[in-house]
Amino acid sequence: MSTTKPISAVQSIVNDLLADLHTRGACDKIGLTRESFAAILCEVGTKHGATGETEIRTFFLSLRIDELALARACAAGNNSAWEIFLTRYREKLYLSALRIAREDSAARELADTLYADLYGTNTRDGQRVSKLSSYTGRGSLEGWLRTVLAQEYVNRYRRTKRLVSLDEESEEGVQFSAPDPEPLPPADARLAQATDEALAFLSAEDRTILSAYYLDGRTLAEIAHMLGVHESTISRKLDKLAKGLRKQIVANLGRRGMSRRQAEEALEVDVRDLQVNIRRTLAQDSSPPAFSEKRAEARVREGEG
Amino acid sequence: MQSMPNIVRDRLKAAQPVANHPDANLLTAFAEQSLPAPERAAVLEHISRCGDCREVVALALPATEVVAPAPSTRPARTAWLTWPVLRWGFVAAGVVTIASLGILQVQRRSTPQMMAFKSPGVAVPESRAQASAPPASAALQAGKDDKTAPTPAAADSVSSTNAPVRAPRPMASVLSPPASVREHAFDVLSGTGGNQARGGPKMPAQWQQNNNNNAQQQVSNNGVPVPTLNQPAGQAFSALKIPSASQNVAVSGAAPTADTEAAIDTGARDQTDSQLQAYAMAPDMIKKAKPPVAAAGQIGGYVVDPSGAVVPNARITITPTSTGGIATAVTNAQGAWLIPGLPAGNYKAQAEAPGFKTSVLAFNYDANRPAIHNFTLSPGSVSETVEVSAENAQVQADTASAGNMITNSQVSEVPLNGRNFTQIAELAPGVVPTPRWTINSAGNLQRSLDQGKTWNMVNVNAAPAGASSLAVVAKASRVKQKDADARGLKKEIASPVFRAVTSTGSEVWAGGSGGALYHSLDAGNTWARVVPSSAGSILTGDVVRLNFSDPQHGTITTSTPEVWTTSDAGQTWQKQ
Repeated sequence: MSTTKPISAVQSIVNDLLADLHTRGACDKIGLTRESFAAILCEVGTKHGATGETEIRTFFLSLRIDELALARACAAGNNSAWEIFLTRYREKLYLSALRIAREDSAARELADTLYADLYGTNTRDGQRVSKLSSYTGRGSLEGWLRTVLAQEYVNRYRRTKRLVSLDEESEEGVQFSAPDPEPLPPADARLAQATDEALAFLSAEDRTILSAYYLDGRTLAEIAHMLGVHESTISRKLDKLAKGLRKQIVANLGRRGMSRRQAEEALEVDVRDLQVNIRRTLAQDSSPPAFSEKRAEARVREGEG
Repeated sequence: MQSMPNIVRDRLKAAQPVANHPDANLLTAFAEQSLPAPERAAVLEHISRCGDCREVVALALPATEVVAPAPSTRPARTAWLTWPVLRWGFVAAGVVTIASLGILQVQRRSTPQMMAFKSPGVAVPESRAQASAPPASAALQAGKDDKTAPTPAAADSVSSTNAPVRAPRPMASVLSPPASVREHAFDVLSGTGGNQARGGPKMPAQWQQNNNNNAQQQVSNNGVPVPTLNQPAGQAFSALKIPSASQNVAVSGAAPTADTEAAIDTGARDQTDSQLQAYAMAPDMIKKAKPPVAAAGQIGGYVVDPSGAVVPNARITITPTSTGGIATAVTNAQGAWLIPGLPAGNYKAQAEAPGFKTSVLAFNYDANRPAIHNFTLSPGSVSETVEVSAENAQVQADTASAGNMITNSQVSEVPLNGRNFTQIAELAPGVVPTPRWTINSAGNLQRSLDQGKTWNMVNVNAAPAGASSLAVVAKASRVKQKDADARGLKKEIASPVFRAVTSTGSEVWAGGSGGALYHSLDAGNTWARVVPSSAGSILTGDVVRLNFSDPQHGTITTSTPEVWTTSDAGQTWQKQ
């Protein structure tokens, strides 16, 4: 490195805080020299991309320095670091995998795969690459391990599950509703547009709550935990959202030329229910009931559901 | 809850999938609520559209299981002092102060009777409200507390405020205030009480509860119940005292007394807290029992089995080696025994219980100090005796012999359902699942007895470690070693920072900073400090690795680095 190159803001702050951070990370005991630790900190700081001295300083002070040091020392292959890591995290890793995968063999596989990644059995350009080198100390190491496990799980098992259901379907030869049916075109394109418009105005938090509750099927408690609020807050928000969206969609439909009554009816009737009804009644070889009766049926079902 | 139109669900699902998934670091920080606002908003924006990342966050949430029960009592207490509570305290205090000021104004102009009905109900909470916030909360805390110490103090302060008010009581029965005043005063009282029904500020509930507690105290103290916020109007008013203007001053004057008393009691309570916390860190089994109470002139202790469960109805026989008299005791339901009044001297103590091997312990008893001797009985037939003496080394290091043969057919037939076949051993009847050990990031030793679902902190210094019980597991009788033990014991009053732990069945070795090395034979219920010594030097480095291939042979590696080995289960050590 040429000495005439200007030191970046990150670099200078790292130099400033290095002594303190090096001690805090207990780097001596795990074989991290000051230079290597400084390089790590610079990398993390640059990746974060904060500008301004106070920002960068606050950022560094908010990091989990000891866990960052441990993780990077492990990634570098230091044995004493690995001893500590295994003592502290081995059991917890397996238990988290069990909580995520819920089933023993899947959990073991998940945990073992992650271990291999963490230990660095993969090589890139001849260099041992450990997943731990991507840990930046922003969250706890334990939490990071859980997140990585969860990511691996989602990538692997969720995708497989979807595939399985489709295979089953073709084997059975019967058309039952797969978890992800192709979205049928709604009876009225205006309804879809009006809904999209209404949804676009939602805040990210509201959208998350809605999606988590209705798409993912999470419980109120889980959603509350995710967002760091009380369960009753979520319940209230969902209620408000239900009322508010209805009103908004009806208003939007009004602007597209529907009367209020038509708009409300459009919301009540689920097109998919209608279509399935038709199929079923056709298959039963009975004369299709009158349209108004079908609509009444759908409304009843909507009321129950 | 009102139903959501299905179309909303559909359109949510049909939303475009997003790229640029946040990396694991960001998602972790999000789940732990430690992201600064702008970054949190960005992550939130992404997960509002990305189902996969939502799932990752949901799966990666920190577990909500409790690690150690005692520390949570501390946050629960201090939670009373958090800002939201204080904020409402200030609001309520402000409201009450303004109300009372208004009343004082009215007082100066109107008749004494009218002010009577308004002021007491307000004055009593006012005396508390006037105190600065922490003592106010402490007083409330005192009211809410079950401990007797703070409550009488708060009650006393209230009673002291009410005492000067008692005198003019007869006036109440004679006078009847105008109805309008009564209603208005009731509004003042119920205004805050009514909030409670709407789920309003928490403060009124505390006041109410505090008032209830104090009311109960009050009734016994001076027969005059404090007006409570939830009493029906008529009752409240019949109980009201009627102070005159001067006595109002006396009431507020008493407030400072409340402050100091409450403040002092907070201090006392803090001490009790830390005591409780330390006590609660004790091994589970002993925690459930009362703490051993051998005072000077008494010998006592516990009898436990290798898994740590107490053994009631075990017979303890103490025989002095010189004079020949025998004293006996039987352990109670908590497994504790106590024999008072024995003179100092050498004794042999024998613990026997049906189904266990008899254990014999020889020790020297000094009558000036309480002596605690705990027995760990291993299961076996009564005829076998395990002799333990202070000179010789330790109890036989076998694990419990209540074992089962797992036959081949069992292994193949028992439905494993994904379990590891070696875990069949844990299914054998009578076998307590092997405890698991780990060390958390603060260097505390943790143990799980349910295969890792919950973890408890284990304090190696919690068991009553009289010098005599330490001697049971002491090394060979080299003078230097005993000195080292004594020095080590004095040094390690606080729990050491552990770095390594290893276990075989219920035998556990844990090592940490400053040469701390602890050994347990009963899955961590009782511990003995072990100070390896070899050729005149003792182990002082940080223990970073422990390796025991079997109970007899083990290796310690320190940070210095040194390597120490033992081939006799830790009785003697050699430095490599």
